[in-house]
Amino acid sequence: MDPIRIQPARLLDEAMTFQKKLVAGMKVLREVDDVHFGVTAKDEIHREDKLVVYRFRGDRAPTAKTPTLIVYALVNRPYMVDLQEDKSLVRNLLAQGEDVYLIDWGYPDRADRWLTLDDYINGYLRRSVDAVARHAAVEKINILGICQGGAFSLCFSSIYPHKVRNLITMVTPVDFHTPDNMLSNWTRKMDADLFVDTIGNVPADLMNMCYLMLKPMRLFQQKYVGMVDILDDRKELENFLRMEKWIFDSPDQAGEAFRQFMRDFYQGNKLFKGGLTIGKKDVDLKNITMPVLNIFAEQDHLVPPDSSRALKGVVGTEDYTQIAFKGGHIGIYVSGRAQREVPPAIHEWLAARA
Amino acid sequence: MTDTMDFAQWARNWEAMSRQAMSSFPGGTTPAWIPQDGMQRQWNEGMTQWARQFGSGAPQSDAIERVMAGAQGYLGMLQSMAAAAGGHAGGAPPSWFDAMKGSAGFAASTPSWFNNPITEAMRSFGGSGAQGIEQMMERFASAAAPMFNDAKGMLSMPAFGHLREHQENAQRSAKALIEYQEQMARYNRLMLKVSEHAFARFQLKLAEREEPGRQIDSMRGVYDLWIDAAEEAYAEVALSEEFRDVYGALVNAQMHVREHVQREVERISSDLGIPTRSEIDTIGERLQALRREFRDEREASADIGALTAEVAALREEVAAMKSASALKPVSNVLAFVRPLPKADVALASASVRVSRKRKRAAQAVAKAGKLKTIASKAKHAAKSSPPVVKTKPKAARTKAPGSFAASIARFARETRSEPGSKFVRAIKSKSGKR
Repeated sequence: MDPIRIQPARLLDEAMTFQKKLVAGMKVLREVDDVHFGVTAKDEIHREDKLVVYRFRGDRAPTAKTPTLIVYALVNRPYMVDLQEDKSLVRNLLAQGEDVYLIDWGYPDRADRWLTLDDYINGYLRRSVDAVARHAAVEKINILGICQGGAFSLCFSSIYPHKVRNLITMVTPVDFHTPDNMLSNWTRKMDADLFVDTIGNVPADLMNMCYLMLKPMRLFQQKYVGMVDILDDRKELENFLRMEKWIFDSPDQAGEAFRQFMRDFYQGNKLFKGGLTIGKKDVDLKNITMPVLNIFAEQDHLVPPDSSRALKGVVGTEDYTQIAFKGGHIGIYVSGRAQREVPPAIHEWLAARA
Repeated sequence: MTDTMDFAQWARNWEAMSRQAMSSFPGGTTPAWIPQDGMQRQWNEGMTQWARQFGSGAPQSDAIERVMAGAQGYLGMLQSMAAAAGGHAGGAPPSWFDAMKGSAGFAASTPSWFNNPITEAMRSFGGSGAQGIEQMMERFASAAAPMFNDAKGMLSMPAFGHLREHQENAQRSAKALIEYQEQMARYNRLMLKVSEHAFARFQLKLAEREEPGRQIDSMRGVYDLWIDAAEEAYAEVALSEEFRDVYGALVNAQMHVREHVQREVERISSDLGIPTRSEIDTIGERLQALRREFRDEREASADIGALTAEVAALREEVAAMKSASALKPVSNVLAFVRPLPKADVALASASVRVSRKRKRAAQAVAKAGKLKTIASKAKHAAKSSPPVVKTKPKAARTKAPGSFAASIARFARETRSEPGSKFVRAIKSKSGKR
């Protein structure tokens, strides 16, 4: 039996619908405004070089006694966690009563070429944590690390456990050598020193192209065929364009920090296997004795689930919890399901350890 | 319209509807690009015209570009499917798979198309499908290898003369470029393999859909299934060790080329007196090191300041404790930190000396007792045997043991009750008698 049974009427209908959408899109695309992001009010509490630490303001004062600092990755802009009104991890955490802060790393340029992971973790991150603690008048704070920011948070918490009350990691790679880690596979035979010595800071466009090539057919083509379906819906179109803006609004990567991250994390897998040093400080995940909540996405193609799950076997805490979310690397922040499930889970976990 | 409609009639209907839809353009006139000769014109021309409506200055132009990139491929497939349907009017069912495979849109949906104009060009004169392309590439690579090897050999020849350094730089750059082209060819062959695997997977997935109830009834369904197959084939190769080697070698070769180009640019810039990237990077590196050092020292100073403040606070606390303990009994342990009067200090010192002397006196008494025993034995022995010249203990030569022990015992009694000055006089008197 023929696997394809397309009735001519159906084929015609599809083609006509496609065409109508295109025609309607001509009108809507002219009318849609430039998209904005970041819906929650915030105040700057600390600034250093290009880094800014913000405190978010909710509709009511926070009830949590311990502030939570979101540490995002360097490779994307952090406003993903506050993308729009109905897709905001920050907004939902504030609604739960949490006191939320966030580090905005900024856009590195050639002047930041020589920033190392030591500068980022033992420097910027440590001083940001101290600033939040001072601002909130507490000794220790909660840290919520996302993706590469989660890896940084693990390093920080192992070096300065006395500064961290509770640690949450989201879609964070720990074991970089799982068989399904495509990015890791691509970097293994690259000469990291030649790469950074030649290229300096790693351009954002190169990073974006790399991510797109993880799923080239879907991300270069199928996504935009699907976009035609919403060309006549202004709200949906704006949501789509907002995501597009975030995906391609990426900062360059400071050369030295990238060198060490590629060499020690992706190629050497030292965060998981041991032997990692950040500046003069050794990183031993067994030093992480505070409570840990590890959230990962089951369909994550950037950070495979097994890469995140590996944290359980290497962290020193006896209070370890992990949550598997049904979704992808981005869906864990922006899907409707994520908005319903993730912030309450984080709040309940923190409240039990306040 | 029913299932039995002639496909040719359907195609004519479709064209008429397209014209009607396109008549909604501003001005009510049908643009010239609307095909006057039926469905022979590629639909992608229509997409191009659609995109041009938005110009290049609008913020949405990036989105339009991406819609173009994706939708052109999809529309191409749609057109081929429709053409296949029209070509088989009234006869056997169309070969959808062959129709898809031969469409320009299908080619645009394969991994090998991305960033690979060479393979796309080869596809166009190699015929439809990628079956022969990969083999052609392999034959081309093996044919070109001797040529590349000859070129490399020439470029490895030593240079002479006052421009030899420049010549060697140019030779190295050329060799790096050849190496890059070789690695790119390896990568392209691997991407062609992906395309082959994608076709095979797609056929397998289609075979799975032959079951009743699982058949695909829309163009979008076919397209999505193809994307699934292509992605799976790509992932299988992209996670392989072969890809790891090829990709790493390609990136490293590219970086070598870039490195050589940059070096030449810097050399020329330096000759012209223009600051180079290396010089600026060196300044930046030193500046960052200085900032780190300064920051470390500033934090260390802050730590010292904190320690100094802590020590001062502790000193005040100790002083407060001392003044508080001055009013408390001597038995209180804090009295030991109170400075004693000088007379008390002298008394304490003398007490210590007296206790030491007592200890030595007790040892002397014990020794005297032993000497007395020895002397009595000697006396007894002298009575019972001829006199023998012996070396006697020193103490026995000067004084009888008994009187010395008595002196010591008296001395001990005296020192027990007398203050230090009397003790001294007692010692002196004993020395004088001797």
